[in-house]
Amino acid sequence: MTKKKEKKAPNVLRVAMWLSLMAIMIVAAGLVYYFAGSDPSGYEKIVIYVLLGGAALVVLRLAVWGLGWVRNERVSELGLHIVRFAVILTAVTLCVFAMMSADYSSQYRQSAGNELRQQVLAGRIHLQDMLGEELGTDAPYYQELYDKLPGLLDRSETNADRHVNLYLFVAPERQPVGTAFDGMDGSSGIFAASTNSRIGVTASPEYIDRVYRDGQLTFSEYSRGEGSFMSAFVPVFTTAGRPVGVLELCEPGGSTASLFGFAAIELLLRIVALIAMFSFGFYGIMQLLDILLRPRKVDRSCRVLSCGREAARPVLFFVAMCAGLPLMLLVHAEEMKNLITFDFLPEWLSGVTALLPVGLYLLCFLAGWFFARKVRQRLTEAPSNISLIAATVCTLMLMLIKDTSLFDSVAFLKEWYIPLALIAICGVCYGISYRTIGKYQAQSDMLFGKDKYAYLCTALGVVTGVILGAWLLDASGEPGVKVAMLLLNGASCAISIKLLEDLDQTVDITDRAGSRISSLAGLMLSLVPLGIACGFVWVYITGYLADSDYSVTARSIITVAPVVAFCFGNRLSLKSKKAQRGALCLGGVIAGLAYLPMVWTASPVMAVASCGLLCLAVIFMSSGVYSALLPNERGGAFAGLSVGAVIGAVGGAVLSGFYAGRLAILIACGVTVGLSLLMLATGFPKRIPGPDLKEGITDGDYEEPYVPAIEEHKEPEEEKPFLGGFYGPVPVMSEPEPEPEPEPEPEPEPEPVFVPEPEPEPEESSYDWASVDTQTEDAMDEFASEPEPEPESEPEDRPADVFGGSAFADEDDAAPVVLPDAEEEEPQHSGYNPDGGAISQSSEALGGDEGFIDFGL
Amino acid sequence: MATAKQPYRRLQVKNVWTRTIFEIVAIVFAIIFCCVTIVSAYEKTYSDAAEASAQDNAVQLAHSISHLVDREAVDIGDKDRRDYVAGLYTKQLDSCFIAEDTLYTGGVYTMVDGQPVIYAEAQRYDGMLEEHGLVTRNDDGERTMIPEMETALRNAFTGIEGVVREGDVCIAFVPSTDESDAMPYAVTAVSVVHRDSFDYNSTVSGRIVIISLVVGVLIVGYYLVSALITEKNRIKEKAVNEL
Repeated sequence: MTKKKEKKAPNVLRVAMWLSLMAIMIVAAGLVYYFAGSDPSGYEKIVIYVLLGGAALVVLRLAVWGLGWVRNERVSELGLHIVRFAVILTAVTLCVFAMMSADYSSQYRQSAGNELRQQVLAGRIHLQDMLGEELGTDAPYYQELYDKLPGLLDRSETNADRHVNLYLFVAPERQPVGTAFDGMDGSSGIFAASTNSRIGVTASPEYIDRVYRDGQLTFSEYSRGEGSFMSAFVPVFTTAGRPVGVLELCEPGGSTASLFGFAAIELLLRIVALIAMFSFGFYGIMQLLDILLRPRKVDRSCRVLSCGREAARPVLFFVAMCAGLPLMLLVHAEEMKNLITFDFLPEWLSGVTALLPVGLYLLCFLAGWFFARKVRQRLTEAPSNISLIAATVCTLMLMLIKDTSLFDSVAFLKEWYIPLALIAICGVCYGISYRTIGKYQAQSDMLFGKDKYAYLCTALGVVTGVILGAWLLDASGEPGVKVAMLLLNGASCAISIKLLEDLDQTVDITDRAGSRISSLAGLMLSLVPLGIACGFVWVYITGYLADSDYSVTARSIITVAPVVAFCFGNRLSLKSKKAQRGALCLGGVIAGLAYLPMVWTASPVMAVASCGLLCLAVIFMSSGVYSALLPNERGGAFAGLSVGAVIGAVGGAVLSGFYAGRLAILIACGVTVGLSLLMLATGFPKRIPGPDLKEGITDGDYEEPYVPAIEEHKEPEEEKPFLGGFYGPVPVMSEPEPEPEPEPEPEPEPEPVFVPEPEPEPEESSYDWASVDTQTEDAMDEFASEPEPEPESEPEDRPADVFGGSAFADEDDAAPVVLPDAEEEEPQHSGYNPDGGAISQSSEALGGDEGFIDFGL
Repeated sequence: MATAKQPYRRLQVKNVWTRTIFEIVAIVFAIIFCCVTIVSAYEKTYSDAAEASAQDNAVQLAHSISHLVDREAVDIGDKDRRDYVAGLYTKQLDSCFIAEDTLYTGGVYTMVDGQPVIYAEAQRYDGMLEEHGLVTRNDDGERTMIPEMETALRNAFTGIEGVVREGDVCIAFVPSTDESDAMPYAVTAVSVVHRDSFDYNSTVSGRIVIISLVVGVLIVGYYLVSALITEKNRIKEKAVNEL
């Protein structure tokens, strides 16, 4: 049964593959529509429908997978909450969207009809001048008239889909044979011309005749052939006052959607952002509620799960960012500017005070860094919750700012992508929390697959950078913001490099699969800030060029260039560890400098220079990452990152206000998806088959007992204190209920690695045990009745996924943290990681419950 | 020793009712927030689009009727005759705009003694200007244009087209020129009011009611299905255990 479910369960790569397929079909449909124009033919429509139908089938497939996943009771509470919220909110917002779209279409048609009538009424004045006192009798007259017809309409966005048809009642003896006026049946006495040569004249002679006879301005919606049209008709006169025909201003019915296509995308982005915000925010609040309502007496008997300081640093980085962003936004308000501007100060000093927000921002940043020090190790869990709350509160606050008139004077505060940016930060905080806070590791493994959530973090980092870059772009004219952006860019890269340094120093990178995979996760984590830095530059450049006179092709190339650079870097193989690390660090340094040319002088040339630096940084980065990966992980990494690249390309093009950006989006998506598929086709990854724990555990015929992995210890002879990191089962004593059956005494370990030490101050701990355990009450009951593993299990035979523990751990992490009481601890902790404190066997920690779906494998 | 049995854990909120109530309250709040934000976003989107469209329309209409008034008519020296001709053009201007509609209106300006004055105007043009604060009158009845409008108007007399936006009004100024003379002899102004083009306030409440009903059904349905699935699984599990 378990096998069946596992077979059906999608892994991240499979989902990515299906998503790529879906993207290709949607892009292809878009291309067909794009080239077919606003009025596609029947065959083109069939192709579009088939492609969209295929994409819908893929969505259905993914939905079935997702529903199956949600239905599985073994899924984590996190998944349930997020999915539940997302489902409900998606349904609601779709309802709202559908209803408003219907209303909107109706309103649009009404106002468009009004516009058409008004334009055609005014247009006949212009036409009257063209016609003269009498209609001409010779061909040149009509040819000249025909040439002038397009001049009736301005070339504006509103008129882009509109065209003019002119119907003239010409006496048979005056038939302008051989002229442009040959669009209608000559026998009716009406000769017509259209400024749209593809569609031509569409109204029926009878209707024209009626308008001519009635002499009234009329509006009509009619169908002709395969198209539907909205048109306003008005009789036209010569300057002598003689009625000679009818003028029609026509708008094909399908243009309604295209006219507001980008507005719809913007709305959808808002909806997605809202769903994400509430889904994340809700779970954060539920976690807090959970902690608050948990019985305290149970907590006291338990111990704190400690995360290494590696957990705190990136999280607190984003806490600082969340705290700093609203501050910077507020400072841009006129009221705040007045507060920090002092008339009596000399000019140069006023310039310094103008940089006060930057200073405050850096102060927040440094505060975050300070709290992340090892001496504050116990705060590591609190900041993760604080980050989530802070991000959510900031988001709400900014949305309120946006929807009130308090800050009307600050135009960019009103822009929609500010809340979106903070929501994305919220997501990043949460994504990193998954990875670094040990208590979520099991859930995050289940949600995203082992190691795959690191890709998610990276992708979120890129997206966040893109969005933040878009925000900063809006205020890029101010020197303070430019400097802030540069500092932010540099700080992101510095953090990345610092993390990489730690990674290199603390991980014993050998050829063993376990440590390599662990280093992969660490690399991915360190790429988050680097992704942000690159995203900054990327979106700034594309946005800058969008405002300049660069051609669409040039903009498209520059938009796609980093993606191509990423692909190119993935083809470079660096053999030595030193070279890999050097490439990553160099990539970080170059990325930090990539924005510099634009600060020096913002010009198209410098934009190209920035883009070049950015591409260089991406090449170094991607080659470093790629070389550090195991061969079977490379495709996966690419698949994971390409999703982020696609999102970044699309987001960048949309957010930076690309007016002609549809083509760029299509190119970026097409190239990225194509290269992604090429990579998958040339080397589709297969993960190293790890020990199949689930089978042995769930089916009861588990012959070879499972022993959770233990980080290979450098000093095995020395007994290490328990550091609070659990990847094994949670102690039964965390629950107050008595055990139904006494646990059999475990066999003594051949090499006792972990020796518990008493907690120095257990009551002072800011953590509670129940918040870090990974079991339900019933699960614990089940656990208590489980047979113990055989003593001959060899921990060192298993590959160790040590990222959560030792990847960033240092010697300080080895300090004694907290331990269960002596009578509670001994049977359960063979699997904890002594070096890091975080859970080190994430997938194992999920156990092998029946019905478990390993979503990420 | 540790076992491999690692069942998942639920949130440890003991009181399931507290959790459920909290969850429902949170969902309702999220839904209301989403609805209000989306409606507001939609209104803003439409408003932005309508504003852009209004500007395009104003320019388009001004171009269309910029040749309505001839130079000869403007240059008439005799006041009575000039007024008579201007009256004719006023009627023609009226015919250029949809009757009984304040959305579109316009006028033609000429330069007299260095000051732009209205030569002919559609019926609602002057009233619209005052209504929207583009033109104010002092106690002596003297009219004063807002600086942006005056600047745009004067620029138009030098041959530069211009658009002025003030509140819901968008006015385009297009110079009228002869082919023989580059300097404009008149300026055609067309205004478009986009305020009335889309007002969602009247329909929002109705929408919210429908949304609430749909959402209520969805929530109830969701919890019902959830409960059924849980119960089904529990029965299945119980049966397996009994075996």
